[in-house]
Amino acid sequence: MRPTRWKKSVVLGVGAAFVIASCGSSTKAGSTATTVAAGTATTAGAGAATTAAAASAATTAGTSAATAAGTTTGGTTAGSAGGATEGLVNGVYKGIGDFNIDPKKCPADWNDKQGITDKEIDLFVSLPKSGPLAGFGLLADGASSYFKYINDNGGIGGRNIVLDAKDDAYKPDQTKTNVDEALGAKKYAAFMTVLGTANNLAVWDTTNDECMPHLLNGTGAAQWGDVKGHPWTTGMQLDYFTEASLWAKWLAKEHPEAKTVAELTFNNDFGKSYSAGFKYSIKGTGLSVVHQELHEGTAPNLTNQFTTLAATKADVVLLETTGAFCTQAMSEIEKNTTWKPIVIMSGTCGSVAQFFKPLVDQGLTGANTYIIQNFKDVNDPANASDPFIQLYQKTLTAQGLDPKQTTYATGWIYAWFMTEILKDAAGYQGGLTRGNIMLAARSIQETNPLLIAGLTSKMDGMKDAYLTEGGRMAKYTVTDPKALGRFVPSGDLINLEGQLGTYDTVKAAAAGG
Amino acid sequence: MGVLEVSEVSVRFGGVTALDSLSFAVEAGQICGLIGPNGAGKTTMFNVISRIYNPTGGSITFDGNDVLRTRASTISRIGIFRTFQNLALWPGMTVLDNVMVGAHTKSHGNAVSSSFRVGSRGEEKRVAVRAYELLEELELTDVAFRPAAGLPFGTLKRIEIARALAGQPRMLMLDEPASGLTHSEVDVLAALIKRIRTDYGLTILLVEHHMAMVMGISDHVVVLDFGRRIAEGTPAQISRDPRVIEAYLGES
Amino acid sequence: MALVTLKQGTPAHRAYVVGAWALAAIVLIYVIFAYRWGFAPGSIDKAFRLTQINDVICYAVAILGLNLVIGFSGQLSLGHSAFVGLGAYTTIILVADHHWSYLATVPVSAALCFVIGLVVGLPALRIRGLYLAVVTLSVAYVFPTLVVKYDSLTGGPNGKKPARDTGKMNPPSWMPFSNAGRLASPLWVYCILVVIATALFLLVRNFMKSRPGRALLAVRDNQTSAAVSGINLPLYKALTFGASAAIGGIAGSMLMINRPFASDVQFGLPLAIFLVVGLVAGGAGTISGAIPGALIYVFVPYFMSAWTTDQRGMPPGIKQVTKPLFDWLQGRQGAGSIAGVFFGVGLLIFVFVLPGGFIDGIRRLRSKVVQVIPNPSWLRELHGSANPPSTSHSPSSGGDVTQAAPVVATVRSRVAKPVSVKKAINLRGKTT
Repeated sequence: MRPTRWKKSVVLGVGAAFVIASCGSSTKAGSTATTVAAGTATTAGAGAATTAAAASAATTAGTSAATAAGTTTGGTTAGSAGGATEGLVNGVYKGIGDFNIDPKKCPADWNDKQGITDKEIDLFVSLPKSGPLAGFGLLADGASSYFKYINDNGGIGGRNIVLDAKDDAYKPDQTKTNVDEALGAKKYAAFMTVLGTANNLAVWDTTNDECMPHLLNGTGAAQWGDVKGHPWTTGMQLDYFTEASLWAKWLAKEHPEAKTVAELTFNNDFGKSYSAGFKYSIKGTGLSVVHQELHEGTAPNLTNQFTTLAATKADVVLLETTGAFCTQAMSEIEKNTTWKPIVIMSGTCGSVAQFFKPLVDQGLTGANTYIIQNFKDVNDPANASDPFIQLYQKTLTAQGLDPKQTTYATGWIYAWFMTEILKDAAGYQGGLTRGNIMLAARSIQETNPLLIAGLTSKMDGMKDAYLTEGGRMAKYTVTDPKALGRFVPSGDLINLEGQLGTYDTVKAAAAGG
Repeated sequence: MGVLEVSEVSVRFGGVTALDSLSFAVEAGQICGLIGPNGAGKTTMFNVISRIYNPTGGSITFDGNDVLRTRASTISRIGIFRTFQNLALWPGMTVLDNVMVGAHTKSHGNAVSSSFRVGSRGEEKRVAVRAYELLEELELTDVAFRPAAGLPFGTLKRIEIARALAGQPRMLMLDEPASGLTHSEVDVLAALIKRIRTDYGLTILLVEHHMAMVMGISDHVVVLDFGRRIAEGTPAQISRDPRVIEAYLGES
Repeated sequence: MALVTLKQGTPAHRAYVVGAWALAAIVLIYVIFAYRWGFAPGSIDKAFRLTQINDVICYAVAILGLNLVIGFSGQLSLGHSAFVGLGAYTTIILVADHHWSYLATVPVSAALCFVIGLVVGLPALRIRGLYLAVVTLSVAYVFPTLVVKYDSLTGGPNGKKPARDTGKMNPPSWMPFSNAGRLASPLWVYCILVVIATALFLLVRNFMKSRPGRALLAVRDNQTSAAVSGINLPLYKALTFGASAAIGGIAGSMLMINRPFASDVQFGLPLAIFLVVGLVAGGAGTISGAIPGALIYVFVPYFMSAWTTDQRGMPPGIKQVTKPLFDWLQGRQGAGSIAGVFFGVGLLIFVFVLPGGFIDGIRRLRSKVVQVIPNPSWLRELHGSANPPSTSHSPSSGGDVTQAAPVVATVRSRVAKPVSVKKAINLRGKTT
């Protein structure tokens, strides 16, 4: 007569699940951003990888020996909009590049001063602060850290920037709830850096219907260039389509002898975005894709795929995948003794500790794998004299934060762009309003000081809807096969600024091939 | 020919022979006592008849039905019900519900008719009334709406009997119904068993250690030891049988 | 002892029951008009809060379905998130790609999930307990990877939603809130979900109060005696899995009606675990437990996480207890995760202190105030209202059996004619 036996077994099971879940999330929370950014890709697959790009781009170890001298723009670059022509003119917000906003198309109760007072500018972000990807929550802390620095130095014309962050545990349904709540609160001027492709897709119809600036999305999907369909939404990161275009340009310039290309593609939006970008950009060059091998997220290994790929004897292999598949792919290539292609890998796999370390443990190296980088590594001694990085180190230390935590640096990148947008908007006709914020977000001309010297970050209204479109190829170079190597720049900077245009280009390319 | 015919039934668990070519028959309307020392195979026999164990050989028929071709869940449909030595009530349900489940095979409400309450209400009421009457008969109405968990042992034994009766059995197998009861309770139980046999026209197969009770109410007694039948007969014959006395040496 | 004792069937008891239902109905209806009447506790006049309340309704239905398997049939199934997800994707795919109306997809989800549930339930015929838990957990684990694998159908990791401007449920113009602006759609969804959920709760309640429901509990409490009583174990186990999955699928469809966006992350292992948590915390084996379970699932992690940065919404009663914790968490690195750990530990303690869950606690409290003496209508017919069962017998377990015997025979012979039962009992009353 034990009526509770079945209940006890349930309770025990739940208890065990909690202990495991608790341990999992608490260790993740305390780990470094390097692990977090990379761990993203492994735990949540390609969906998560879309957010990892910015973090790991800034995280990648060993971007030393910056050959290009290039002057770095200071962190407090003045707004460029003295006596600007942009702004509210005759009831319509007029920006550059034919980008205009007609507030009559916004909801009747739309208020262009919402969240903006003489004292404060209120911004909102939804991102994971709990769950397996909790480490990304530090992005908001990093952004707030930069805003605090700005506020301590006069703010935006005396206004303090306040960023409210809400936890969505990386679940799109929770993101939607958070965003709905923030919209309903009617106290935010703009949203920034909402993390995750699915999370942003879940809310961008609503933010656009509500005319809420939904800026600098924390994901590398190409959709954020959809200026026609979603004028209120912008991205920040180098998108996968463009990243693959950079591969093509680099190959054409640095390896004219390479003719045939084989692709390993994650069979999802993420992988196909790379593939479409590459195929789009090799038109008119001597390069051709001779074979594409798709793999699923459930694939136990890539042995079969590489048997087929090796048989093509292609000159180049593209690893359009992420997470543990990067490591597996590099391992398969290195173990092949007859096929020695040029290996180019997704930038989401740039974390040396996460993706190259396991190779060393297998007696392999991963040497000579190429990836695209576009942001400086704040921890690289070679960047120690960079004034903005010095400012970053000094400010974070003074605020009691650990500057080695590179997710903070990523937060600074986003906050820097946001600050520039606010400064620009304040200079527009009609002053700092939400309409002008949106115009400014589509008119960024300033170069982010954490971009690798020589790259630019520009938007041009309806003409160029992508912020960062350049990068530099780096080669993973190993001196001691038993130790980790580092990325060494290879070839010139490639800047496709303004060339991609809008999401329409990507859509057409994807439809065409 | 008895209503229950057990012939040459053997059960082996690994190397252990629990029943060894056991045969016996029970006449309709009889109370048949199945006795023997601990481990003699009495409960095993019950479990074979109620199809919880599969015998390694032999055959069992009940009223012309081949018991061994019947599944555990349909054994009740040929009229065989039982109680359990260690009680097998459903503690999470009320006493009344326990007894109502006993009538499972005698009612028909299915998931759809019950969920949508189409044509199931009359039957529900009938089953509830019937179960309550059985509780009245067994003096259990005080606990009718209480959960079966936590009631005294003797009460639970009677609930098991009520549950079995709810299925309108033709044969009732009682596995040590008197264990754990006081002397006066045993007397009451003995009277009850005789009474329900008469009232319901039951055949009763009784496993019991309480010798006085078995000998007092059984019409026929089968004695097992080490899985074999060592004696069979009326209580009077059995109590004189030297093999029985030998088997029970050391038993109290 | 309870302060008030009510006997079932008396006018006082009837008033008590009607009052309780009326109160529930008033609360449900109040939500619709809160925005008009100006009194909206808990911001229930805000669209996002209504969406959360709608979430509670959806998850309550999901937990209700899970309860059939875990709470009522005693099989530890951890794969429920997969069925909720399957229902959700069925709806969203039919709506987005095939332009079905939302409500038309609900039966499709239910039917599809019923069939898949039967298949998943097949191992349950052979294995039990933790082994079954592991098998079903693997179903929960596999579901999101299948979503990613078949991304042309499901949208993969980017999620799936209907085309812009087609995904909204708008109320017909005759609804009183049809002009409530941003609230119109969530309120209409609320009405639809309340109707679906109420229907499902009533169906499950009817089911559990009748023959197959009792059989299910018997299977849970003791399989052997259930089988011996004639209950077809494999049939019941398999059907339970199917029905549970079907209800889970409906819950998934409801989630999509509320928030037309499906993603693999939403229907992964955390949901599987939290549905079980909600079930246990609410009260496994109780129908109403699904509601507090869903409230806990939707709101507690939400507020725990919110309070780590902003304590303004903290209710005064809870504030005294939780404020030190959240003061400590404020601004701390990874505060959200730490809050999550506290949530987990808190739930664990709760579940160990109150293994019967929230509903059990409520019932214990209620039993101190109101005690209801069971006296169902058939019993009243049997005895007449003047003759309650508690007085017809002495509580001792003995009794004069021989004297009762002939009377019982009388009763038995009359069972076939329920109408005359009352007479027989009256006769019996005289003899004893």
